[in-house]
Amino acid sequence: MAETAQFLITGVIAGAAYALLSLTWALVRKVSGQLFFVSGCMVVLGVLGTNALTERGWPMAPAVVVVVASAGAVTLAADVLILRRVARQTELSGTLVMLALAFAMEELLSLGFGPEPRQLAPAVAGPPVSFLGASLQRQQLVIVAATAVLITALVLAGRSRWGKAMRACAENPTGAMLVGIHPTAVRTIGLIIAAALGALSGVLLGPVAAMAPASGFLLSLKGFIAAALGGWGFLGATVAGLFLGLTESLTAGYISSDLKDVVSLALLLLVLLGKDSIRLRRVGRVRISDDRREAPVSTHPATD
Amino acid sequence: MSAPVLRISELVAGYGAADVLHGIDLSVGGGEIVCLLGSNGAGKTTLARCVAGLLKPRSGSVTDGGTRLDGLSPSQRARRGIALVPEDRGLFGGLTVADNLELGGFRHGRRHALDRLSLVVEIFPPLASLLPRSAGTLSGGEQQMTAIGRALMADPRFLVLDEPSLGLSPGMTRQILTALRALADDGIGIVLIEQNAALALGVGDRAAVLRRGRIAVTGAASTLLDDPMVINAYLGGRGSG
Repeated sequence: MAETAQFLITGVIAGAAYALLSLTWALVRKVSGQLFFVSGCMVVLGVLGTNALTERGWPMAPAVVVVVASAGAVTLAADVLILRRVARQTELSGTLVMLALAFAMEELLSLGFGPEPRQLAPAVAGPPVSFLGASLQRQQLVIVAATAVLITALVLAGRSRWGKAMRACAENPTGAMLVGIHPTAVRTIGLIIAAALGALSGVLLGPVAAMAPASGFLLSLKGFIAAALGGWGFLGATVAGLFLGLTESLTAGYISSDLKDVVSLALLLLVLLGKDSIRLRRVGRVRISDDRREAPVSTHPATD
Repeated sequence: MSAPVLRISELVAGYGAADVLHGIDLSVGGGEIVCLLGSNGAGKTTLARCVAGLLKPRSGSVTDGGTRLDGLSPSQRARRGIALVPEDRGLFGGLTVADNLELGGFRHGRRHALDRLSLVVEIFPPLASLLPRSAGTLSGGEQQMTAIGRALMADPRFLVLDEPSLGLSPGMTRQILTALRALADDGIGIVLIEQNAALALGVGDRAAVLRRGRIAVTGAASTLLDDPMVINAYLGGRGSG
């Protein structure tokens, strides 16, 4: 019982991390239709950047603010210089550019901070807490609580006028312009929020998981798998992130830790095999101009 | 006639190497409906795109109350009160009708949006029951009402409608044109781009016929209803004068 509880708790913690990552993917997908392969790099930047500053004597809070702002600034620069130029090109172009950015950022992180894994000091000190016979680090409680707060905030923001404006821009940029929304600005804001969320996730996860620049890509993939499994919505991505974390943890616990990533990648294969459901800019979107030709019959008496 | 609020002068525009519009002059005042007629390829949609800022003219100008709109993006023009309901309606199909309408009043506050929503529902009563529906699941007529309603949410001074009757039943078309007449009577300047000349001229104040990128005929809508060229080309030769 205690063993199972331990696996479940570990799975929930990993799932919370994947949920955060998948939210950055879902957000970027909503605002730009692009695949956010740099999400893992943002998480690593959060860990390595905060570690570097705190080792130089910075207090934690300003270090986190600077690192999160840096992630936003890097994304702003990437968007202005590269991403928005390929935004109207093919899906393949956008995907390749994002992948290239992810690899370039990994190299830059390695040059800037070194290739070794780093870890952060826990935000809260103290002995582990016992829960259903399992041992739970206090930092893990912080991760779960902070994840819940961030996800709630993001879901609520998605239902606000600005959240709807973001969806509108991704669905129909011309239509958005015609109602006075500036799609490029909205898109950039969404990308910056996603990058900042990624870096903040790194700060949360840093005390429980050592991370190196090379960790970024696998983290990105986990976020992609969860977001795609969850249907690219915020709530779906969250649930799928938790599912992925639990699946990995139970596989590692009951079968072999070597198979943990194999299970994730098998899920990725399942996602890719069902690619029709994850094609860019198609999820939940109805193409008005096409539909008009075969508009559903209305039951409303006042309509045609 | 009211003083012109929107003036198109010597407008030349096109795509690639080809010019589609060859020096268009047109004006519309607050409170009037100007019908823009013409066959497919005449340049009607190109003109609408130039007014909305979706296409940059090669030369000529679009002015709003004497202010040139060159360099203003479509979103800036929308904020000035120039609204376009495009031919494809431009709705956000994955969002509800309520969300589409809310976004129409994006530049205004929530209170203003609620007031405008009441007005829009008053103009198009069927929208009241459609508010929770996804815009992508609506019929053509419902989509058109939503698209016009969304444009009205921004409290525009000037409204350009590109083929609002496309794909609609005659009854629905008449309902929408009647609503447009009421909006013009409230002071909005309307450019009505239509292939259904008879219906458009029935509600319009003035009209212009566009042929191969040039204004071929212009005059009062009631006069054009009796113009032999318009009758032959756009009214199927009926009436014969």
